[in-house]
Amino acid sequence: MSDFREQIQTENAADEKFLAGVKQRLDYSCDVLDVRTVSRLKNIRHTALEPKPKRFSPLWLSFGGMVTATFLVFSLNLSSLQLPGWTTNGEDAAPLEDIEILTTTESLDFYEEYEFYQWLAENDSSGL
Amino acid sequence: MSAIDGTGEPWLDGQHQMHGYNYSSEAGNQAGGKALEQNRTLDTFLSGVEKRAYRMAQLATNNPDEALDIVQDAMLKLVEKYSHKGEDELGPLFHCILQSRIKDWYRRNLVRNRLRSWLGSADPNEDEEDALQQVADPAGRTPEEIVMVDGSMEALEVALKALPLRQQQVFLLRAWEGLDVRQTAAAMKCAEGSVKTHYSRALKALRLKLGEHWQ
Repeated sequence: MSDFREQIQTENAADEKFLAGVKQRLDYSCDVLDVRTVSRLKNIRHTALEPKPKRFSPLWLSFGGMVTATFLVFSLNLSSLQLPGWTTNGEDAAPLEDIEILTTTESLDFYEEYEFYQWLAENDSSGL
Repeated sequence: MSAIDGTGEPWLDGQHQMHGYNYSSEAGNQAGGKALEQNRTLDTFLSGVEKRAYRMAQLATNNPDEALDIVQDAMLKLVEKYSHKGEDELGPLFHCILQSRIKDWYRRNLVRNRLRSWLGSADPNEDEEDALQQVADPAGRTPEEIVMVDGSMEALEVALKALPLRQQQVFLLRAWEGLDVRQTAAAMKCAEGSVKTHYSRALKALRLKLGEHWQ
């Protein structure tokens, strides 16, 4: 029984000695790593620790994109749709006119006299 | 320049934007101080483990560039997901990620090699050796020392590479990294009994092969 115990102890001691040797050599292999590898490892660490810009979740991104696309398609359809029986009068066209006014470079005086010019044009076309 | 301590460290401003901290307030300063502390902890941990992690990945892949990629992935993942964890938790978490990446690489490589063998293409590892690897010994050892140490190191490397991947990595985690059985099992995503078996077999195989180099 005591022989067996001694054998186990001897085995464990040999294992420990062996493992210490392995560890020592592996540690040493790290100490003598080439300059390029050490430099690259340092760069990798710095890159990993750098702040990352806040990323949008692809799910939200696709959802947002879908909503925007739907809105655009819907808007385009509304502006271009001409169903039978539908007519556009002056009131319907008013918002579009406003946009035109905002986006053109005509002087403000022109728009102040706009109703007069419109009346003049109507009179001309009716031959008055 | 940093809003906290004037160190000008770029990551601080990034943390500010990333988490929406208001550094002008007391709470913001505390949060920023915590972020600074976390970053320092991570930096200390990663600088301590990076070379060993690289060697472990290199022994698994037998390719320095692949090993660097694996270490990079592991570091990025650790910082992204577990930067808030305490120092004592970082080691097991990092090794868990590293082992996961090594396993992924191993699977991908297995598929790639099968495809190559079907297509009959040449071995991609036949690239020319990097000239920088040929420069003088960085530790300034004498040729005799290199022969003595590198001879046994080379033998160890060959013996480690000859082990099955799981045995190899279990052995390195236990014997080199000092992880206990439970932590190794968590890192390797296997049972504790398997860790004991792998470790025992690896130790036996290595002792059998390397006995002469340790006389």
